[in-house]
Amino acid sequence: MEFVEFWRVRRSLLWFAGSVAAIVVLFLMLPQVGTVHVNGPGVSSSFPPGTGVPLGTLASLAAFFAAIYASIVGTSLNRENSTRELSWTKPLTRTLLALRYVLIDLAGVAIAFAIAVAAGAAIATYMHFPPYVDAEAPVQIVLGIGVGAMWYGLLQVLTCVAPAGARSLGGILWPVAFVVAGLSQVPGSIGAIMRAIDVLNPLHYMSSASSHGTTMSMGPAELPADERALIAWCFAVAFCAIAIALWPRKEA
Amino acid sequence: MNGPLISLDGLTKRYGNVTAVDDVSLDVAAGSICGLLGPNGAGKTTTFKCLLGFAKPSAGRIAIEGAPLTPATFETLAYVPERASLYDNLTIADHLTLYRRSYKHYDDVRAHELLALFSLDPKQKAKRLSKGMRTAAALTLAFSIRPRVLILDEPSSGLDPVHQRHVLDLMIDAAANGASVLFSSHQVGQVERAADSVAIMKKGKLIVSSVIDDLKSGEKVIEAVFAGPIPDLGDLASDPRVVRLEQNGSMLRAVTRDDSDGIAARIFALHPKSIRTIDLNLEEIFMNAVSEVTL
Repeated sequence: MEFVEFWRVRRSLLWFAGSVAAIVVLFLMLPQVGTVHVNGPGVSSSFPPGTGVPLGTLASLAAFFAAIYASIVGTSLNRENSTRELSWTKPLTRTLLALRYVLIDLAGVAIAFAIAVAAGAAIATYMHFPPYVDAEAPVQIVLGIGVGAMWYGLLQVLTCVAPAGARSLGGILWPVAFVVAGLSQVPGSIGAIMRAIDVLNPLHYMSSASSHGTTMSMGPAELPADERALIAWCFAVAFCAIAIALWPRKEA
Repeated sequence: MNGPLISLDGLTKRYGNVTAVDDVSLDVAAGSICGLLGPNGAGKTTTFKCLLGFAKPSAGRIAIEGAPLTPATFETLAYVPERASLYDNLTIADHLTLYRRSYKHYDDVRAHELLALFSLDPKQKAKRLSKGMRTAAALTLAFSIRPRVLILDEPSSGLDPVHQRHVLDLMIDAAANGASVLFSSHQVGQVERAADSVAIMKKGKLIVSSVIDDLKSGEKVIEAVFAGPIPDLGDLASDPRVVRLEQNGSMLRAVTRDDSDGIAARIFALHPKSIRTIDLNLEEIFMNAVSEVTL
């Protein structure tokens, strides 16, 4: 049965790669720029031509793309509910089936992340900012895929036993996540509530701006990247485990 | 195995205060075809859902080939739902590949024979198939694994008469090879043609479960036509041999159990213009079972 999910992930990755390639082509059509100025919260850096772009920066940008891809595949168990008569009458436990679906989808998230990093590197190279491997790159890669996996797991938990219409949550979750992240900065009781909810928000753990070896958390608690990566992965595993446990219990 | 391949014992399914299936017990032996009849909402599909583990029974026991349902059961159990479940973006050939990878007993030669039988193009995507073609594709998949247990919910839904006949032939062929078939249908004629036993459900309860020939031999219909209005029938309606009386203008129909000649004699004494005794067909049995109107 996982064969079906292979097909779905392969097809969605082709679409994803095509979309990313279109963005790359757009960049290649732009005139090559001189010095690039990066101004982010707490970060202000200039990149003259020839300066390398750290891989950690590309990875932190690619995390957004991994999360976007996770929104596409994160409703796979919900989608399977409409063909339950096929999948639940196979000589395979439903839990194992759900586990295989999740593992295939997560592999897709990792591939989508890699595609985004590669696309970023291609653009940077074209712009005369050749990428290089910095010290923070490994942890940013783990964090980037972890954020994608957390987004995927959260979506699976919210939709796996819900009606088919819940698939629209794949899109709705984005503005909700940004609103929660924004309101969590507000002082007072609303801010406190939102800060509590924001703990479950994958954006909370995502790196937002990066210069040479400097990354920042989008969340209020500016945790180091390795701690954010660990938390994101813990949530990702927990969410996926909950979805795998819930899905087989859904009654027709 | 000697026991029934499909066995339901006291199956009950409640949704809140609604009892969708109420204490249903039913056995389908190897080499037997059981037709499950009932009006809409009788609980047929819910029974199937419980049987397949899609819904958890509130009470009762289910056994397939003498054992509780496990994933391994599905190696030899095929199910076709009322609305054929297919992956819309996959072709029929893709579905066959899926089955080949999933089932040990998948028979590709058989699958392609069935595709030809139902005039299906394996290159066609499921989303392009009509309702009848989807049903045919689901049947092809179901029979391609050479199942020992077949559970079919309205298996001829949307099919043309020729393909409906093929479905019945396939069921009869499977039973002849030792399979147990449990199928639901709204077409009583199909059940009468293919099944050797019938189960009739009404409001969640199993109200009839018998070999069809036994049912037919036990009950008869006496039809009498009177020249004018039907005369006073006296206590005929309360005669224990009378299952049901129907009056339609000058026609009187009496469904009898056991001594039909005695009832015919009583009606003949009322001087009808004509009178005849006819064997009950399955449709009459079904109508008698589910009808709530008696005189």
